[in-house]
Amino acid sequence: MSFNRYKDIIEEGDTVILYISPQAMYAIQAQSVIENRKGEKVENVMQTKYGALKISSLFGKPFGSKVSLSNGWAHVLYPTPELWTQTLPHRTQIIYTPDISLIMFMLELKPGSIVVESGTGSGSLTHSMAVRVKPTGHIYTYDFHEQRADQAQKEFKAHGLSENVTSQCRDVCQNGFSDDVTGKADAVFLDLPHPHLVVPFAIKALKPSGGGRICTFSPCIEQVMRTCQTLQEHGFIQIKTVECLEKEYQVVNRTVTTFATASRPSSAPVPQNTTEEHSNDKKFVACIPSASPRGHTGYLTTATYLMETPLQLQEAEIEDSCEK
Amino acid sequence: MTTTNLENIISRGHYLIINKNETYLIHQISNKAILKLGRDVIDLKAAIGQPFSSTYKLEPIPEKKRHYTLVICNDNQARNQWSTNGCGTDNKLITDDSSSQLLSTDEIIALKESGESGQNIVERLLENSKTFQLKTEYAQEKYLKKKARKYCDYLTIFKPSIRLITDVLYKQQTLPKTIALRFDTLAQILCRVNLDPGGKYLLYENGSQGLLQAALLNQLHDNGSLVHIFSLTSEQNALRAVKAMNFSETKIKQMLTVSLDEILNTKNEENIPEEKDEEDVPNCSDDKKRKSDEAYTQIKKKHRPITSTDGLNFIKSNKFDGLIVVCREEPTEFVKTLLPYLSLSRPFVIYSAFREVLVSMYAEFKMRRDVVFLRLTDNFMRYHQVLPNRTHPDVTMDDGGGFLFSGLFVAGTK
Repeated sequence: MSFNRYKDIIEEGDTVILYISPQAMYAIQAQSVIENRKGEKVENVMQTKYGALKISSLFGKPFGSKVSLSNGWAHVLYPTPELWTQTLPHRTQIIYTPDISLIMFMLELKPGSIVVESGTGSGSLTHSMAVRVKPTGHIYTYDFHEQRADQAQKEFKAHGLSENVTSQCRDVCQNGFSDDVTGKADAVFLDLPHPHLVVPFAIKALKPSGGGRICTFSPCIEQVMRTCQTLQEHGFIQIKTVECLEKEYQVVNRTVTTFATASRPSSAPVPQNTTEEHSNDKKFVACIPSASPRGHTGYLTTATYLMETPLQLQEAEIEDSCEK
Repeated sequence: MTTTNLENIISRGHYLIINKNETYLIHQISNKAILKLGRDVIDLKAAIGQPFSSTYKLEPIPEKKRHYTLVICNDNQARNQWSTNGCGTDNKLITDDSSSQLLSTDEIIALKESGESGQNIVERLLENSKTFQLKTEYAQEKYLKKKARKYCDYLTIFKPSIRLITDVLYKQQTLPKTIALRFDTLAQILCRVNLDPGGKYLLYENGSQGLLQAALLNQLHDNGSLVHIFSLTSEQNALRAVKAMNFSETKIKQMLTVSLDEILNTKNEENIPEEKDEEDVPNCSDDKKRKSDEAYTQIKKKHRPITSTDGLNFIKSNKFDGLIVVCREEPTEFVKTLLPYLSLSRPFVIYSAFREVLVSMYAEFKMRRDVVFLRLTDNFMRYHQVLPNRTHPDVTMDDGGGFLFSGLFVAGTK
C-alpha cells in the first residue's frame, strides 16, 4: 500500500526497495510468511549476495534505515516510481525514467489530469503518472493482452493506486477507447506498434475544448513518420519528435603517472629513494562516462490538439475522401 | 462538457502565450490590450472573453500602417496555404545572381504597409519569382515555410503551461545572468525528486526566473507545500514564470519564502560543531548585497504575503520530502546544511551548468554514509525533422542541458 502516499514506517504488506548498490536493488513485498514450492507456509527470508534477510525484521523500521545482512548491510527504501521502474518484474519492454520524465512533462500532467494510456505493459509509466495526477486525476490504461491487463490491475490495487488507475483489457487499435473516457482526457499516451491507427480514437477521447496533448513512443522511425503524417492530417499542431538519452558518469579517484623526466635537469643524479617515484603519480578525481550506455530507446512524438474543426467541414472532408 | 470554466477564458490581466508561426512569447493582456510584435501593432481586444487555444486572423486596420485587429478563425483549412503550379526536378538551372525576385525591397515594404494580407503578399512574391517554378517540390516547400514565417496572417493564443514557458525562457536565455533550464532537464528534476502532489518540498533557486517555483507549484495539490529559499542576489525578473502561470492567490500561498541568509544564520546560531569552520558560503558578502539592493526590495515586496519567519519556522518544524537546488553558485556547503531537514529515504537533486561543480560534490558525498544512489547525469537530446522522404535528426543539436546530481538521504551510521 505504500505507493499512494509517503510513509515513514514499514508495515506488513508494503513494497520495499532493498538497496545494496545502484546495480543491486530489489523490490520486495513485505510479508512475514510466504508459501514455498510445496505449498507450506514458511518464514519469508530473502537471499542476497551479502547474506540472508528476514523480512519480518523490517516491520516497524523507518524507510531509509540501514539493515544488517549476515555478511554486510543494505538500506531499505521507500518505493518511489523511479525506484520501482528499476526493480519491477518485466512482463514487456518497459519505458525508463528519462523517457518517463519527458512524457509526463510534454503531456503537461498535474494533479487532476485525466490520462488515457495504451498499452499498459509492465505498468512502469502508469505508476509514475498515477502519482503525478493524484489525488483527483485518473489514468485509464488499456492493454490488449488479457493476462498483462489483469496482472497490472492487481498490482495497482496492491500498491494503493486503484483510486487513480483503471486498467482494462482492450484492443484500442480495433475498438478505440472505452466510452467512459470520451471527451474527458487531457492527455493521451500511445506506446503500441501502430499508433497512427489510434489517433482518431485519441481525438474522441480528448476534451473537445482543445489544448489537449498527445504523445507517442515508437522505437522505429517508420512508425514515427506514419504517426506524424496522421497527426498532421487530423489537425494536430506543434508536432515535434525528439529523442533523449541520459548519460551517466561515475566519479572515482584515479592516479596517473606523469612524465617526470622532462622537468628534471639532465645533469641531476637519478634519485634512488622510493618517495621520489611517488611524486611521479598524479591523483585526480575522474568523471567517467558509462562504457556501454543505452544508445536508443524510442522517439517521442508530441502534439497539441486544437479545437474541433466545424462539423460541416468534417463532413465535406469525408465526402472528398469518398470521391477519391 | 462546455467550457464555462473561467480559468479557460481570456480576461484582462491574464498572462497569455502568443504563438505566431514559430515564435512564442509570454504576454500579459493589459487594459488597452495592445501587443507590439516587431514592427506590427496588434489589438487583442477581440480575444478577451474567448477560450484559450483559439486561432485568430490578423485583419489590417485600413487607416493605420501595420496596425491589426483580430478575427477569430478556428478553421484549420483556411490557414495560409499557397498553391504551387508545377516544380522542377533539380537545381541545375538555378543560379544565385540575386535577380530572381522581380519585386524590389521597397515595393515589398509598400505592399506590407498598404495593409495587404500576408496571403496576397506571398502570392505576389511567387508570381514575381523567376526561379520558384524551377525549384524542386521540397525546395518550394522550404521557401514557402520561410515566407510564412514572415507573412503569416494568423496567431494562436495558448494558456500558459510550464512546457510553453520553459521553451520561451530557454530561447530568451541571457547567459550567464540567467540559468537556461532546458525542458528535458526540468522534466528530469521533477522525476528525480519524485514529485508527489501532497509532498513538502525545499527549493533553493536562483537564476531560472522562477521556473522552478512555477513548475513545483503547478505539480502540487492543495495539501502540498513548497518552501522557496531565495538569494538576495536574485535577478530582476525573479518571478517571471510564476506570474506567467496565472496562479490563484491560494496557490501562491502554498509557497513560503525564506532568505538564504536566514537559513545560514540559523545554522551559525545552532553552532553545529563539525561544520563550524565552513561558514564561508558565497552570497553573504556585503558588496554583493549592495549591488543587488534593487532586486532585493523588489523581491521583498513580491514575497510580502508570507513573512519569511513563517518559512523559517516551517523549515525547522518539518521534515521535507525532497530538496531541489538550481543555482549559479557552488552549492555543496549549502546542500550539506539542508540535507538533515529531509525525511529518511527522500531524494535531493542539484542542477548545475558546470559538471566540475557537481563532480567535486559527488566526490565529497561519496564519503558520506547518509546518502545512497548517487547519480551524475546529463542528456543527449535532439529533435528530428519528420517529413515524407526527408526524415533525419536536426542539423544543429542543443548540448546546453546542464548537469544533474541526485541521491537519496538515508540513515547514516552513528
